[in-house]
Amino acid sequence: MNAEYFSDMLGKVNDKYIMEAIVYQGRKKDAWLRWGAAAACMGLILTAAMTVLPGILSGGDGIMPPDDSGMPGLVVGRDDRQSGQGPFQNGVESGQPDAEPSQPSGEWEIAIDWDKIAVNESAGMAADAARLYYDPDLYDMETWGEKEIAACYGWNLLPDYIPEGLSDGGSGPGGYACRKKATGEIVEEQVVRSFWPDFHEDGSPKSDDDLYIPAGFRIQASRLGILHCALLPADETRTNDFGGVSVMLTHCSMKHGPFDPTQKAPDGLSNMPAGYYDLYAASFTLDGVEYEIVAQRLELEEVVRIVVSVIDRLTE
Amino acid sequence: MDDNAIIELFFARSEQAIRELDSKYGRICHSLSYNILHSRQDAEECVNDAYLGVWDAVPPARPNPLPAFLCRIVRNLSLMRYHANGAAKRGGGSHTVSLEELEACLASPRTVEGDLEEQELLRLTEGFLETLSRENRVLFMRRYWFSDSYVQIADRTGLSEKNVSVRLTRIRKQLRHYFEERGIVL
Repeated sequence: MNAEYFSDMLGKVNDKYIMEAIVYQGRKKDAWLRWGAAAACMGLILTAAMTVLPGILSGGDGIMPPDDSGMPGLVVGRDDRQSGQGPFQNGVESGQPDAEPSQPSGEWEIAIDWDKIAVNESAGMAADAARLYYDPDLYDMETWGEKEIAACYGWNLLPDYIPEGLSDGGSGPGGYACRKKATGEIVEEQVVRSFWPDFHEDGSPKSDDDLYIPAGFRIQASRLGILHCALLPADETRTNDFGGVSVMLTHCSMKHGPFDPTQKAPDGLSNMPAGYYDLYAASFTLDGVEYEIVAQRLELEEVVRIVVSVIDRLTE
Repeated sequence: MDDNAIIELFFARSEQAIRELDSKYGRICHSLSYNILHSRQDAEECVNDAYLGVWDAVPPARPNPLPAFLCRIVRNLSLMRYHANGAAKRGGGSHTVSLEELEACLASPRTVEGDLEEQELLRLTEGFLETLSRENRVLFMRRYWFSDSYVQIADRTGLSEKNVSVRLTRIRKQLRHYFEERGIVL
């Protein structure tokens, strides 16, 4: 039996199964929460298998050069072209863009010393990681919008650097908080803002090329701790110093379809994929807020730029 | 508008019936067709053809439930066009991906079609669906009948995408075991 035969046969099942699937409505989540959960999975990949790039944003204040501790480092410098100063000669502040949120890369330049960058490889995501279930009789689930997010985190998760062609589709940030009914105490909160090349009608990200996986990134934040799906840890964990902020970077090579059922992938566990794409995650804590930036199908340089722009904004 | 009222409009040969049908079920039909064809234009045409199919069938038919009847037509027309389009135009739609998943679960050099009547396989498949919990059955149907993406299923069920993925993987394993236990070598 092949899949198409089974699919055709499945089309003939009794109406009751079709109707059940049509009318079923589970506990619906907002779109941002859905993508927040996905971001958590990706972020965990990052977290667990961390790449540590002792990064150094060269130049003036904030961005530190590699120290002598032997910790691998990432050297990043902002290139302030307007002042005529070269990379590593300026502090983070010098290249600070204006308030306009989505800056073309040319207006927000950093120089990266790739010799100082080390990336930890993750083995991939673990099999399962469901969110905790909160009894609705005991907990209230709140939906947070831009106002609540700005109040809680002090900004709206819009980085100063966004790779060209990406946007949040006008959806803005979103999040949720779970609060104990009895005491009002928040026991879980998480917010996210996502940037993609295109969007489906339902707001979900859409690829703008032949690959089903869209190229883009998400920023996720939580004061109580980001929920991680599961990222199988790398052998070692190294961190980078970006402007005094310890940042962990992780990379995972992900398979994408269509998968060839007649051949096995090199790992021997799955069918041969059509190809692979990069998944990077960066995590750090600032002002008591845990952040994770998860990027798929973006270059590491783009990821670093995003991370630096966020740290720069939050530490200025 | 109530489904019975829509059917009455069909019986009255009122073109308003099509508009009411589209108003009530257009979204689910377009989603179903797009999931299979991965083309807005093709999906639009298939859904319109399905509406005409209902127009031709009602009367004399008085489908109950109407949405299942309509979705079945949309699915059949969309799959016919999916096959007619050929591999080059199918692209990476949700249906293609779902077939790949099933392929990994079901593919075998040996075919059972000749050994077992389709009706018997259908009976076994419905028997398998009955072994699933309601939520898992919905996951399975949404993925392999409606060709929903994980995102769509997660949105509908309130589960995380990862959870949807993991559950479907388990369900496919159960499906394989279910058939194997009944002597069907896949």
